Amino acid sequence: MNPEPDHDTPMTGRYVKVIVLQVVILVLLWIFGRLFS
Amino acid sequence: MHFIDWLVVVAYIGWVIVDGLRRSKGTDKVDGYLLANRSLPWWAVGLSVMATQMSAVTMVGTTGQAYLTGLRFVQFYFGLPLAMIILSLTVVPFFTRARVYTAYEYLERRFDVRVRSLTSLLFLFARAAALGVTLAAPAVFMSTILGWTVPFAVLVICVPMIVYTTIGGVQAIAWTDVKQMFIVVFGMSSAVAILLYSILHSVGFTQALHLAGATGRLQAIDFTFDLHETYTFWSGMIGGLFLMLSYFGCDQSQVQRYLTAKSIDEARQSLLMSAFVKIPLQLLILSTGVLVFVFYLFQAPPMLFNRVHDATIASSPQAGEYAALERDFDGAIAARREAARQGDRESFLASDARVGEIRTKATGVLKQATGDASYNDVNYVFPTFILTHMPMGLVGLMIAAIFAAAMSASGGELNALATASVIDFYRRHFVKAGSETHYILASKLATIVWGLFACVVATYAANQGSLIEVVNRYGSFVYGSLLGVFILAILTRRANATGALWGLVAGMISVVTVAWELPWVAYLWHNLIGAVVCVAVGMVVSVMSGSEKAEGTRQK
Repeated sequence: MNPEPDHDTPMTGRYVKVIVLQVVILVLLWIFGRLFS
Repeated sequence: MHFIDWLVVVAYIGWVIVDGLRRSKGTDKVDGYLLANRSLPWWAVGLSVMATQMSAVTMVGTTGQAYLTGLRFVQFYFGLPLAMIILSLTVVPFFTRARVYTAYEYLERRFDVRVRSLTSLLFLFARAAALGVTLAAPAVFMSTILGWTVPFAVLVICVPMIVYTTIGGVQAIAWTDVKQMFIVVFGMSSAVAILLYSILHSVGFTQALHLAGATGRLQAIDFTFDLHETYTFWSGMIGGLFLMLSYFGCDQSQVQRYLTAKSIDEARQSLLMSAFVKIPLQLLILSTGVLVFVFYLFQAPPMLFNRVHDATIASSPQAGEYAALERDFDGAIAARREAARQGDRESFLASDARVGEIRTKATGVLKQATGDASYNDVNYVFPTFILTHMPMGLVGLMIAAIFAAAMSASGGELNALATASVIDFYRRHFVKAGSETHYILASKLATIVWGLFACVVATYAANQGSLIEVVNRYGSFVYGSLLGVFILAILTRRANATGALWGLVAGMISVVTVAWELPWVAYLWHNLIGAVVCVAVGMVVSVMSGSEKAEGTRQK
């Protein structure tokens, strides 16, 4: 069992990466749709 | 299906059962049986979270939907990444530190036992009905494409799932989910490879994309703000956000997944895995449907993919009319294929529209001839492609992947139902000082009982197409309001038990009212409406009734 179950590390960097990835996906999907419509 | 394919399916189901039984080590305590001793690594929990959310309906229904309308369904998931971030910051540390077994157990500490019991009861009703539907949908199309009876198909999915869930508990579920996700991703990737290989024999890759794009199937994003439209950027980002917060934050079948993680950090990472991977995974599945569309531009598709009524319509008074439609269909398909090969956009679009018209007419004739008002073939597009165009061995793998998706989704739900039943009701209200062995036995019995209940519901629901829609709508009545209760619990100090109860009721009434009076409002907005009304009414009632805030640990 984990000796530090309540270990609570800030993950701000990861949250930012999630948002950036989503924005990139949205932009790529939009461009893709426009290119082949 | 070839003997080799059946061998693959049987081998996979056998492997799942054996490995599930192997995981029963360490399940002699309640913590081990229900929460895997909070010892699972983030990546296993993350895969289990995704597997629980992705049922067989996702695999066959989503591909079928993409065949018809393209990539736009991906917008449904646009709210998920932000929801995972919010949940990582809020409920994950709350539930983990509280050392609860169920999400609703926390509500007793914050409010009182009435709130806990009512929210858990609503979860049990919603999830039990949904479990039946989760099993009914794949059983129906598996029975059609494999020639089985529906009850037999239900048993093939349910029995292995009940066995490994009962014996191995949440550990068996989580590690089975891990295997199942690999099978599903490998299977879908194989299907994409086969499709591309076939398509590129007929047309270039860019031309294939232009053909799909010409019919609007590559328009993934719709920025129109229209409450009538189910899938738009706004309904996905806003309505979908609240749906995902409700589902991943308040539904025990998901909460129990990340309660098994080793720590708060690992629980967060498991949710962030979905945040990173879910949309790309969904695009893989939707792209498969679009590729099936392009594939069938150059290989003759059936007029209707669900052949369950073939014999009936052939002997009906409408047989002649149906046969004439088939001849028209063959002509339209040939014209569309020729236009696609020549790159003649106008002719292609005109013949594609003609194909759609004939399919719509054929569906109408079939419904008239058979009396099956709920007939549709969207769930049969991908299975038809698998059975008729994939190579031997891979057919078995794909069928195994569909079984895997069905079992992974329903196993998590079944385990959650048993957990909530035993922890929130049996242990809380009836046998309050039993031994560990007693509660584990109760959990196993609850698993079996709920499993058998789900089998019965699935067999009945399979024949009631409209019931499936009713069950899905019931979920939307409940989940937004449940989210509202958790918002009151976690984000406010002034909310009290009375406010939470009245807020919950008001939230559900508001959604029922909107669904009844404004049926054109897309269902993705229901969770937002339920949550907002619940919070608003909850706060007002709390303020009016005074601060009777419940704090501290209560007897479970």
